[in-house]
Amino acid sequence: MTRRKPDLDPLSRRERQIMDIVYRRGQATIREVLDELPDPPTYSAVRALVKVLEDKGHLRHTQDGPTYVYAPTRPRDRVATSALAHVVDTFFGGSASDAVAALLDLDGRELSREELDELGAMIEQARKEGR
Amino acid sequence: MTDASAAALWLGSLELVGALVFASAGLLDMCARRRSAAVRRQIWALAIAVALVLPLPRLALAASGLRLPDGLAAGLLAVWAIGATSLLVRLVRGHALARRRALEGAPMVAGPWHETALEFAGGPRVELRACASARTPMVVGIWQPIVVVPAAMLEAPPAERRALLAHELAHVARGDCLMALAGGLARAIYWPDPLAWWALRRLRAHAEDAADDAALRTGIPSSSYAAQLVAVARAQLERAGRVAADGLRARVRGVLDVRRIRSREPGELRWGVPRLIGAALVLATMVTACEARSAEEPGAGGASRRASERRVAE
Repeated sequence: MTRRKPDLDPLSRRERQIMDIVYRRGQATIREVLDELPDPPTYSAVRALVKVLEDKGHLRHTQDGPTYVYAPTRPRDRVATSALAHVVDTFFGGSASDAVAALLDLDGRELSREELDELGAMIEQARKEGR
Repeated sequence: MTDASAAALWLGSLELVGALVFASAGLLDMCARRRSAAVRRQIWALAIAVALVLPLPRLALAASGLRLPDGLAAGLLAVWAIGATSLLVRLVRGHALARRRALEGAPMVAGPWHETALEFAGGPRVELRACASARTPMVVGIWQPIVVVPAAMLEAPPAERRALLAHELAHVARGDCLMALAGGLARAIYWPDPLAWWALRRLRAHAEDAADDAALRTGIPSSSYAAQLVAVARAQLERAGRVAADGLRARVRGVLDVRRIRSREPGELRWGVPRLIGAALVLATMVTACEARSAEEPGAGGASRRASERRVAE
């Protein structure tokens, strides 16, 4: 399986809380986020965090009069996949098949001729690269 | 409390603590993913050793206050005993069969394989045997290890011969046969726990990777060595119509991975068996002491609470 990098930068705990709020509401202003955050920081701190999320590509804003309204850039299921990809990348070097094999240790099965051919091709490639 | 109930509860708590030991090893192994295979093998070797000595300090634990119905306790003990006995029989029979087949092979006291083995100065003293029925090179035996060379590989070129021997001698130097036996024993004791089966597989996988590192240290190109591994699997597929994966894909990828940190010489890294047992005993005692302490605390809290209640009443 090919390496899959997460599309977006990973989130801190606070950033994830903000994203949860925005996803739950569909869209939110800074004030609405602040109202729902547990143990809320200052208004300026939330605004700075939202700006970071915007820079990372998780949020985009539209203007409603003088107020900025923030909405997620991607549907939640894609973000969940990306977060899983981040875990896979962190612990297993980006290979989901390695992740599953390492966690469940399922490699007790039999090898097919095609899989051996695939390994042969991998070795041939390595040989060409001088390994 | 009846004997059966006490024994079943003691065994149940042993299985639970054993699961905790294996789970901790799994976590450590995950954290050590950027370390060499030899280091990761040591993590599992220690976990298995801890699991094996764990029953000793636990004999001193006070009996649980719980009680199981006699029929249930006896049934649980019987199921565990059947599983453990069948796994032990399979383990002993497997080792005996492998040794008998190895002894059927022709000793190699001269020739290119013997001469190559002599080049590994300071390495473990082993007996070499050529065996027609063997499909892959292997080490058999713990106290007097025999390196079995398949007859089909006797004409292997010098570089491959040296790599194969380095691989098998690394198994001997690290005591992998003894650890495989210990792992099999631990699996028989903790068989209801899937983590015990996983532990043995991880130990074997890391032991193979560490031995592959030893083979690569002989200077053979990694692609040639990987090709050798695949050729053995292909020959097995041609001959028997099926071949077990046995982590071959992961091994080939590991061999070809230039970023991988290779294991050091077994002699520098190896923990002697007494040191491993000593460390395991210390850890097992600590785990049991923690458990005994946590079991005492609610009682002690209750006693002090009762004492303070008495004082209030007075």
